[in-house]
Amino acid sequence: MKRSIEMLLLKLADGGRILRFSEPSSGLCLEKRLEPDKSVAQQKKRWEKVFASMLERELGVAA
Amino acid sequence: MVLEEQRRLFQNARVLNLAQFRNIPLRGGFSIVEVRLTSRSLLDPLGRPAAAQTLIQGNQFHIVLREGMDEEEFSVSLYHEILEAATVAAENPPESVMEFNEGDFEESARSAHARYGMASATSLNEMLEYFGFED
Repeated sequence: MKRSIEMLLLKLADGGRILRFSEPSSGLCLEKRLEPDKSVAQQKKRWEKVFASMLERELGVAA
Repeated sequence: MVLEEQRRLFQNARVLNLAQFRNIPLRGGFSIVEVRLTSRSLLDPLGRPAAAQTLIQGNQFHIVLREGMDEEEFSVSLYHEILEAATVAAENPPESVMEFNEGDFEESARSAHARYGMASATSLNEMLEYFGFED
């Protein structure tokens, strides 16, 4: 079973960015404050892989 | 005197038409479901104040911006949210945005506002086209 992942981009008042991955049916989520001087797309790819592994480990499914 | 003050306030006030951003198809296969303003404080999970948030569900964007922004701030924020959300949501983002950091997105949003004017459905797509998001 393939699960859907939602993402939330939150812009903080201090200019920082939070990226949160969540899996709605289980409520599992992973949240990172993005490093401001690094590529957003590369950071997203990296943390998406981490979250997918986390889901696989916790729920036994591919994300 | 009070009437004069009210007249001045109304002359300076411009209504933001958020309905124009409802269910808008975007280049790259995305769409804006809605753009909302909130008077309630946007807070991050640690309770710190936030200025904007974009929820990405598949190819659909739900955007919430803090109330009280002036027109230019609103427009720049919308360009910023859309460009960054499209980059994050895309499986393979265009090369032009692959290395963008947070500052690059803000600078590009300000340039888009200067180039296309107030954010609209058309101008948001023009910006995405400029950065290589395909139809």
